[in-house]
Amino acid sequence: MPDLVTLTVDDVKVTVPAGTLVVDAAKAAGIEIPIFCSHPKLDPLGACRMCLVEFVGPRGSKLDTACTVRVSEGMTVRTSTEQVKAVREANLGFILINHPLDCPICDKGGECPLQDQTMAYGAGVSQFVEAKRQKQKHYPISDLILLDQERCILCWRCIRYLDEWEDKPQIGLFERGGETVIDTFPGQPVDAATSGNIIDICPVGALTNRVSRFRFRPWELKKTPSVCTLCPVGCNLRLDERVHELRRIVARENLAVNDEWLCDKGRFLHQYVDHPERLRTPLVRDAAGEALRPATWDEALHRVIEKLGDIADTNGANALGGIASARVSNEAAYLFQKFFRALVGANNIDFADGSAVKAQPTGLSAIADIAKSDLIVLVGFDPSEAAPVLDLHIKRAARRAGAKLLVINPRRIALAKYPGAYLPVLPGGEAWDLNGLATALQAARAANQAGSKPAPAPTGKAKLETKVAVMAELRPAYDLLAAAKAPLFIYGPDAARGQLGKLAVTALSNLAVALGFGDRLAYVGAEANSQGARDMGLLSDTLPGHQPVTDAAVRERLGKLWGVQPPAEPGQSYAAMAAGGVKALYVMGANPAATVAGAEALHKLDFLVVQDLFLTETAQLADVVLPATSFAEADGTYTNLERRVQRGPQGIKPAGESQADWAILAALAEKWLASQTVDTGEVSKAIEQPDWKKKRRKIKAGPAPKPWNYPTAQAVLDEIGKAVPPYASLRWDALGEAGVQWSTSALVRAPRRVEPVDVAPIAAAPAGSFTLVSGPLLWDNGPLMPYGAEQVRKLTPTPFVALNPADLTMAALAEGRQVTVTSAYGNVTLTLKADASVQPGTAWVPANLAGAPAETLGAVRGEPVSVAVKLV
Amino acid sequence: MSYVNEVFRGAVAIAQAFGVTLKALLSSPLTVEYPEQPAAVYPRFRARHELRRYENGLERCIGCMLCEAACPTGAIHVEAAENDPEHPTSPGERYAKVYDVNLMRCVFCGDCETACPVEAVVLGHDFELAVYNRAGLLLQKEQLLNPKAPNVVVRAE
Amino acid sequence: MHAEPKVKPSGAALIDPAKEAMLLAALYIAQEQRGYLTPEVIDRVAARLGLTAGQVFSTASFYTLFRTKPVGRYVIQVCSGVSCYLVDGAEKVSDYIGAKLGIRPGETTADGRFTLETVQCLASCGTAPALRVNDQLYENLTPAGIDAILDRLLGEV
Repeated sequence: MPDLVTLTVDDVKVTVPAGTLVVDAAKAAGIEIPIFCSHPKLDPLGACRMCLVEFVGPRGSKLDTACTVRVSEGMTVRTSTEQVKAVREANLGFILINHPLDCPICDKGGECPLQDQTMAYGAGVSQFVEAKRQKQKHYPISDLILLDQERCILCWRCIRYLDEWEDKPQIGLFERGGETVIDTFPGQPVDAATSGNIIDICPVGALTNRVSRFRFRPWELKKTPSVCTLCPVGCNLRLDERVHELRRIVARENLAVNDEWLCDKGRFLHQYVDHPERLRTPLVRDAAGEALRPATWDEALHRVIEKLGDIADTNGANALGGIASARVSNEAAYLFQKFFRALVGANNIDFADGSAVKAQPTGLSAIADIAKSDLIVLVGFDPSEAAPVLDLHIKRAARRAGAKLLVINPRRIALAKYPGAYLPVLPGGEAWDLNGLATALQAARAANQAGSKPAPAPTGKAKLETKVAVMAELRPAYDLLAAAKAPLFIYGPDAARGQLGKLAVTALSNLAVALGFGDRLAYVGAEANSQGARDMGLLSDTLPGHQPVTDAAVRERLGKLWGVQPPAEPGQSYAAMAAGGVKALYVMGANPAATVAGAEALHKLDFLVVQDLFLTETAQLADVVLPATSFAEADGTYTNLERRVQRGPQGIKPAGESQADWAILAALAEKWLASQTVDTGEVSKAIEQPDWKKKRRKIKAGPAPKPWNYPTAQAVLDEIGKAVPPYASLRWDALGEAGVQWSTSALVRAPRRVEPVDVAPIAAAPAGSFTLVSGPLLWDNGPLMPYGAEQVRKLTPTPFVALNPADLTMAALAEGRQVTVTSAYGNVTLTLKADASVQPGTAWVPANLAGAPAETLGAVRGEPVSVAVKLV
Repeated sequence: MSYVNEVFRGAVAIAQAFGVTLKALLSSPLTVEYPEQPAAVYPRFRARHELRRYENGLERCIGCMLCEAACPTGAIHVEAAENDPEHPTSPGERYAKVYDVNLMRCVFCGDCETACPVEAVVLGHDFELAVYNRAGLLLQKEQLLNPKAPNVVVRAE
Repeated sequence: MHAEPKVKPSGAALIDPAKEAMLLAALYIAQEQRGYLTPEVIDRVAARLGLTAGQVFSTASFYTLFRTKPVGRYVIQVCSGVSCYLVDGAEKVSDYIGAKLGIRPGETTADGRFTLETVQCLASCGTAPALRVNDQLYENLTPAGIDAILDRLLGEV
């Protein structure tokens, strides 16, 4: 508990923790002190002099900056004396001397602190008659941000943000005196992944958003608080809509999640919502070989249930499968699995990195725990590319709280430059190293418990003897782990796929348990709602609430809720379904046909339904395409990586006839139920109905599914509360604007214990070839990137393969050349790059590039893949 | 006596009344044969909007949307865009890509004129707004920039 | 309220003080090689010290000691700070020298001998007006004094 200090601000007594700045103490007392340079999330500076207030002391009063002075006991502050008012007027006069009054064309106009404070505290007239300073007015400092040096009031907020949070001090103050400008070094534009935040914190219109430039005026926007659905952090943001177009996204404060930051992808990638290529009506294909044609919802949905019904009747329910994306809302994920489990009667549902990955059900204990950790272990997870706001938090912990980072990754990711250790591994080789560490730590712990010296280095023990050579490599990592008092373990899909991934996760879990921190182990998926999709049971082997399909008690409970019980047999996995393991496939938001092999497998299907925003490669193959809405156009909840269930309300009218994913599923289920008659021998009620409804499927008598009645997303969430125990208390209204973390205590889990791991080291690729390494890239060619604004699309690199510079030299290859990369699964032509972060002997091809090269080569199969790199 | 008086006063009143008539008979008429003859309006008369240009041909409007904000009936819709530096539409970085006025909503209050920081939009003197369909009352930028007879009054309020 | 206490970083320092301290010396050494700092030189200094080029350029452009553009053999820096301005010197001195050498502030003579600059402050306020030629400071300037300085420099060449 920090010491408390009582001070008086304008006759108001206020008690705040020692060390609080006067400006914040005044705010606590309900008194606003005007500021420009001061920012709650940045270190104090005192550059703008706007916050000068009177401090009353024994020798009279003096002016000082409220943003740099910390409170002391008995301090008396006056913020509205004549002297303070005069100083504010004069100071604003000075600031405005060189500030152009081009407010009418300035995007900040209307939400500009300088405007507001000039109106509130300014003199009203200017004494300045001389010519104003001329500087660069239209000056791009990156593809995304435009700088107007004339408008800048030199508050340093952007400089400090990039330094203190991003650790990329790319903007500096150049020149001096009246000539001072902020600028970037020539040829080195700002490339920080969260650079857009400097637009939000700029107190004037000096830094403006190039994607949204001139597309809005703040007063005419309809502002909807929502959440980002591009990565699992779930940053809080605001949708700014005007005339049914999403004009801008800005960050929204949520101190538990994103403070008030947003990554550039979340901020700038939004034009897909209004993209002209969005699917606006359902499309159907009447016969193979024919083109897709627009259809009504009624016709399209009917076609779906008719075909799915026929295939189920002839081939059994297990001939039907559903592939979803973990980008969709909890409501869509829940209804998707319910459709297959309760109506179709199959467990064939999955998403990419779904059942193939051994995930922890509980996610991160809390994002706030990052700042409290002294060791952050990142296994196969690159926050800088996959979750930039999490990256900010980790960098902050490393630089401010002294946290060490233990990075276990095939590539030397950006975070590996911070104090700690980097452990290079081959893909799939994580298990070997983690097991070595876990075994050593267990041995050390056992020895410790036996009463010997604390945490001795385990050497010479029977099991460890064979690994002495390995231990030397593992030594730095071992030391970090042994010394950690509050470690946090985070792993990503790249280390957790397939059989080797399962071993790695078990070894990592053993390691965490050996240290006594089994509950500080988190899995962070690739897609935004991975956590929610798992909670909803969007997996072939797991029911809602992280319960295995084999659990009869859970099936019975769900049976009561749904009317019918889900099948007891685990269904087919994503890979099996995408490879053609079913006759009919329902794809929601996923794109398994991105690779040639994937498209070929889907070609063989009898029937393919795709529900998406755009005509993806998969949708082009579909027999029925259903237009879905984006996150901005429909209500939905999303669960982030720390189990925080957050609302994403509708902020804009849906494009064309597109409908929310959950609404499409609800409508489909209604038709499905209407089309089937329990074969009781009785004549069904004769009601005047369209022809197609009269053609009813006869199904066997048995427990009938309960009717689906979901008029709103809130209604779906209510049912989720009944199906998923940890969600029991979550209601739309109760979630509020900050969301609610579901409690891990509501989850029935087996106690964590050390499980034996039987693992062998991964062999390096044979001489002359490389081990394929893949991983996320922030500006990839992911599902929505091709439909972003031009400035955003520009950031996606042409598909490339990166090798270590030493390997390049050895293989006599030159950067920039076109090369053919061949693996056992396929070959692709890529541009060659040199990258020192790529370890010797490995070839790095990021995931989700145009043409899906990494996926074609087999990077997501969860097994080591060796590739040959040859000049074209 | 009183009777004579009354008659006399009556006669005077009649003469006065006819005097007005007679005077009007001799003076030129106030009414205008409107469609044949142009109707004169006062300088501050406010009718259809016009968008002005500078002498060099550049549009004055910078697309700041302040007229839209000031409009009490929501009759104006502006979409701004960035000028092509090679072929600017207006001086500076910003111009109005879309400038629509819905005359069915407009109440000709002139608030848009007052709000305009560059005196681009003015309410001109063209009051002949009758059209055969509603679409004709939805004016677009091209129409506003090229009025039938440019008649630019910048009021000094 | 500030969500986190504003304590000094305990682990890795925000900026390594040693690197920052070495920067001025490194720039000085780098400048001696060509007389000014090219972007390539700044990039190299940044790489050697583990700073960004922006940080290095920020420092280099702040100090009048460092030049980021080619200059003549003698760089005449005339102080235009407040004190020099108030003794009615700053503009007169630079105008006088400019007239003598036929260049304006910021320019270099055609023979590459002299560069005239105005700088913000030479920290010689008590003896204003002041100027500096390369590393030599001249104070209490008068026209005669300036003539003497220039003549001596011309003689040296």
